[in-house]
Amino acid sequence: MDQHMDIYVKEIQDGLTDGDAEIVKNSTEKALKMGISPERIILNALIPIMDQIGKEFKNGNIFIPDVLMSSRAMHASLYVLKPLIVDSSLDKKKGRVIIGTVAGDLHDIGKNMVSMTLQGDGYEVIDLGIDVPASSFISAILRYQPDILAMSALLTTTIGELKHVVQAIRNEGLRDRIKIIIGGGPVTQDYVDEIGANGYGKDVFEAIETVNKLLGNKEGYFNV
Amino acid sequence: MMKEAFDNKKYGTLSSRARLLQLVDKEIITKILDSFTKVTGLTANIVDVEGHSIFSKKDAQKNCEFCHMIWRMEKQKGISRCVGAYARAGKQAAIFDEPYIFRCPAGLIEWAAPIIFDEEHLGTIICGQVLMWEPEEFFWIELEEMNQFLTEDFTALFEAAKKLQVVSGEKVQCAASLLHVIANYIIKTGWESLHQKKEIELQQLLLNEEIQTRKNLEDKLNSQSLNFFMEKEKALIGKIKLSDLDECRKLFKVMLADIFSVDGEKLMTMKGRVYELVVVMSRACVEAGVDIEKSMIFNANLLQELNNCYSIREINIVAMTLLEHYLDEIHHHSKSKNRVAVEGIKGYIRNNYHKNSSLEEIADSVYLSPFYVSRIFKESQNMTVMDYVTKVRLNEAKKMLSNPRYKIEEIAMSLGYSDGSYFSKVFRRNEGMTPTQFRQNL
Repeated sequence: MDQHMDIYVKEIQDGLTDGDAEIVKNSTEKALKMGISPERIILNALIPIMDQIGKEFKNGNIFIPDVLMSSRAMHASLYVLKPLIVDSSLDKKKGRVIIGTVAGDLHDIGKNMVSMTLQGDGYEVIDLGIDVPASSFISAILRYQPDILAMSALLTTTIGELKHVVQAIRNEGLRDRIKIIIGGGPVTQDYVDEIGANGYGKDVFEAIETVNKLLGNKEGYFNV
Repeated sequence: MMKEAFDNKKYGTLSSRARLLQLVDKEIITKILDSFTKVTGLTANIVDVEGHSIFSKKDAQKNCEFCHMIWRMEKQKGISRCVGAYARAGKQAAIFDEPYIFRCPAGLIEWAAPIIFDEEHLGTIICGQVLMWEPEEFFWIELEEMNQFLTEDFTALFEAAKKLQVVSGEKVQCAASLLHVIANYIIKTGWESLHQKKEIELQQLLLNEEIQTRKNLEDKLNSQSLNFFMEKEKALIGKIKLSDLDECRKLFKVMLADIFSVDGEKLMTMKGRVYELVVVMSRACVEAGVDIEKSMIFNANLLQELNNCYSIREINIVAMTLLEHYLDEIHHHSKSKNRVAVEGIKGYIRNNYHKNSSLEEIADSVYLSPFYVSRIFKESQNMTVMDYVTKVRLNEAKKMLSNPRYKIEEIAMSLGYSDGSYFSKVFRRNEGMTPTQFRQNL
């Protein structure tokens, strides 16, 4: 049975690698029909492959067009999964997360992965997009009253912006209302301590883990 | 020798868009981009850092039907998604100084090549509006999701999308790299031609002015220390006091040339020195009778204008224009002031022509220096003071000659001439005949 399922998962994986949105979409639908759960598709197909593609791009083995194609294919899979994820966790939201990239993250793939995985894990996620100024984070905090603010900065040139946003939140007197987690290429634990954030994730899994820890490990899809 | 002066440019307050337009030759660019489009079938545009096209509607390439529809819808809804995306893509491309391939908000593939000059991001070449995949079921879903708040009815948009080019990732990558090369070329050639133009202008400015004025000045001022700026400054003040406008002009030009020809000088420093020079000049002008209020306004404006200069040529134009303003003021002022002096001189001469007065004595009568007196006199009367003395004397002589009672010798004496023969010589030189002949012709 597992082997059976692996075939579909593999199909999705190959589709992602090739950047073929149509194949990924169809394989995802098929996999669901075969009784494979959305979280399993996300966990076993989407995340590892997207992770791998990110690494390959960093190492210069593949180029931006390939990344764009794969990311589009991932969205095709998510398009199929989304209604299920959102429905399944409607009655037991674990918390509310605001997420955004402080400055143009590379096609915001990392942020989108975290965003989608958090949703898959039962959180309500409000995605502010990329290139988000401090003022927008602050007005979103006031408006949505989230439990968590998740910010990413991919570039060494923009990492300073994380500090700036945290400071701005402090200045507005909102720091105690939320937990802040950060992520992105140059972020380290030292940096978290320096700017006074609550935690960070060096990849999607760690990000989810950190959010879960900060909110008291309520039961979700990824930490049963 | 000028090279460093140019290399050290700082550009005042010019916007990046204005600088971009200054650097690029639109005609050449249009040619390049049009050729690129013909070969690749891909549209290309150049936008400023805010994402707005630098081309007018007339110059711009015709964009695809799909984009036209999107723009129209965006306009109706009062949003500018495309412009924002271009600005972001340009910023992103500039950070890494390499082409940036992205998916536009409407769902197409585009790429941006940054135009960077002097470490400043001036603008971006945007190209694309293509797909990297054959439109499949999921693409229509995507289009609807991405553009749901623009329209309800997607029929026309889908039809337009079917006409979009499908390009392989490899080709996209190559086109992006090619555009990056073009962007660098644009800047390089733009800079070189600008640089060349400036160089030529400056050289001309320096050569023509310098050589001529130096010569004239060396003769006129007969000063060995002319190589020193401060000396020239003093000379300039002197010329202003004398209202010697032509000399002022020459000196001022030479001093500007001195300022501009310092090796490795920054534009800021040049501006500072030009301002100093003008202040020194303006003080002298005020002393020479120019209204102090006016001078203050002139100088305040200069500060503003220098701020907007980003080349030696422009500083030169601004400084020379201001000089002319000052010279005009001096001219008007000295005209009225000089009229009184000249009339005084003429009066003195008419009353004292028989005294054989020296130029010094005549000048003393109006409390001015002989040098100044002779200059303003010549300027307004078209003759020297001594010519005028002669004229008055000879007029008097003619009156006396018409009276047979006076001998030539007597006339000469009463007019202040030392002897009759000299008087006759002067008379003949001016009137074309001897006093005796004049008498006979009466």
